[in-house]
Amino acid sequence: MAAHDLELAALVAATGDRHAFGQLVARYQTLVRAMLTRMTGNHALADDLAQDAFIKAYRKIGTFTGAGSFKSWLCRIAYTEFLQAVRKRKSAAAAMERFTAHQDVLGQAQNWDSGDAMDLDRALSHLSEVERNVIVLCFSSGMSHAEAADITGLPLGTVKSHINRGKAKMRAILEQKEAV
Amino acid sequence: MTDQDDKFDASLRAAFEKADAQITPDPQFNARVESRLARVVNPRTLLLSGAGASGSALAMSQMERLADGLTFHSQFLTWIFDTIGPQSIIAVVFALMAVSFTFLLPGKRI
Repeated sequence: MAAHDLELAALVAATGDRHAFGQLVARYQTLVRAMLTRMTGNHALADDLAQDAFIKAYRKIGTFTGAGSFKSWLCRIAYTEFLQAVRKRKSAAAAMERFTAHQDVLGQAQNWDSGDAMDLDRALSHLSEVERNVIVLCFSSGMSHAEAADITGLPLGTVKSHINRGKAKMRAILEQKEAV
Repeated sequence: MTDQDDKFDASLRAAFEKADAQITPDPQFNARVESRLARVVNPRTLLLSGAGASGSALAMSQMERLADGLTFHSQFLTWIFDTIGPQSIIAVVFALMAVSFTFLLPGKRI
């Protein structure tokens, strides 16, 4: 039977066991990479940030108290890595240049299919950074609104507002596209 | 929340699921993380090394008094004691203790 996250985290915190941490990496790598891919829109950058996030998680695992889920704790670290990467690039606009590029091709005729990742990313590109982040956290990473608030450091009501606004924008974009 | 909202939520969730399904588990990713982990210096190891070194330095300053009352019945031990000197012997003993703590406390395998 696979060890519980909390048991593995405790083992890593107590002994620095890299094999145990490797199990956590294997368990959560797709979640973290997917979250960062949707936030950055760049697979290579997302993988680099995900690696940095796991290394930081290994270093800071002693601070994981088990009060929340390991997944939520890890996503918070990954989100912080993402924000730092954005700041390093001086501005969110520079870090999100892919999104700008995608806006140019948004008008191309193509019906929205719920499985079309390109269309999803294009719709995401029309959201503000914070709207995109909370939408990704809740819809891609499966976080609750409260967990998204905890990860982003925003008040719960603000998170809900951003999600509602983000969804409304995405809905308008995707339905408009569907109508073309 | 209206039915239409619920429908759109479900549709959006499905879209994310399908898009994220394209990101498959990558064994190379694990290997890269584990290779970087091998190079991570445990801050606790550094802290313990520092503490061990400080303790050894403190102990060395008290060594002369510690070795004053030592007498050996074995000629060999007396010869070692006279040749190497009490300071060096006790320094080695404390250094070994410090190294042991440094490796044992963080659970690091030698």
